[in-house]
Amino acid sequence: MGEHDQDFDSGLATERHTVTKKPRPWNVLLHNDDYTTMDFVQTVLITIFHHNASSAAQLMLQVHHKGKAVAGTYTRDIAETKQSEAMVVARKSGHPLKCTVEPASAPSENE
Amino acid sequence: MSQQTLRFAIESAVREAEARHHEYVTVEHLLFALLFEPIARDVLASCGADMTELQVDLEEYFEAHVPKIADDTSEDPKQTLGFHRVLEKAILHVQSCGKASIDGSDVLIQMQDETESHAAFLVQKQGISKMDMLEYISHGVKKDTDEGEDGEGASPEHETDDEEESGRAGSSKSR
Repeated sequence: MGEHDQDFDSGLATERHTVTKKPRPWNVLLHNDDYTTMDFVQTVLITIFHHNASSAAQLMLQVHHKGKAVAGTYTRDIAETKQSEAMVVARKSGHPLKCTVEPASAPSENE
Repeated sequence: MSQQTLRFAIESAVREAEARHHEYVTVEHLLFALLFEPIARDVLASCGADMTELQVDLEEYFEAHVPKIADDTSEDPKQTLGFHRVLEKAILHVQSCGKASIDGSDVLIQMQDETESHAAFLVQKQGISKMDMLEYISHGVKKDTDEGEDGEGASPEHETDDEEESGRAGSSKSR
């Protein structure tokens, strides 16, 4: 029994652990493949992730050479929405582009 | 009637995002709008929320985390996956439990399950758990009241208190 008086009751459906954890920032990653064109990756970086042409080109090369790159960092909800937008537009244009999300704190091999 | 106020809240969430040139309408825009929806507001207030602080926290979230689009584009803000999910779950819940109509409290509750969302986080930061709100909505059990009257399942008009409630009131103070 801790300092919480509630511990003495039977326990059924009385659990109230409020985990007040600050939401983490999430990264959206673009992955390299042999079929998605460099142009398309660049377009995605500009239209969905709002990079300017030069930083989009740079990131596109990073995807190409290192296998993946962080396209942007957002809240989880927005990151997942961006991911879905990128995948939808890729499939529509016939590209197998892979886009994933992960907590920004998670160790990513090329960072 | 309550359905109307919720509809109004959803519309104002979208308008808020539009006016601020936000790229997305998020779950947090929805929470912001619910602060002005009578039923959800009553739940939050009764559970001890500081409305002004919540509003300030949400403003800070908007500033820090919602991407903006250029002022001159006429693009509508896009609804995030979470925004959709919360509304969908609230509708499904109301349909499956046979409640006559959906209101702000249904949306407020579903929001709490959004993992790593600021909407859930900011409400929890007020010391309010989902269970606190469920108890108030379901049985009118107010948080942090110490009236020793026994009556489970009473209507919201009667403030009640049982072992569970006083236990939680104690634990919330220690938080």
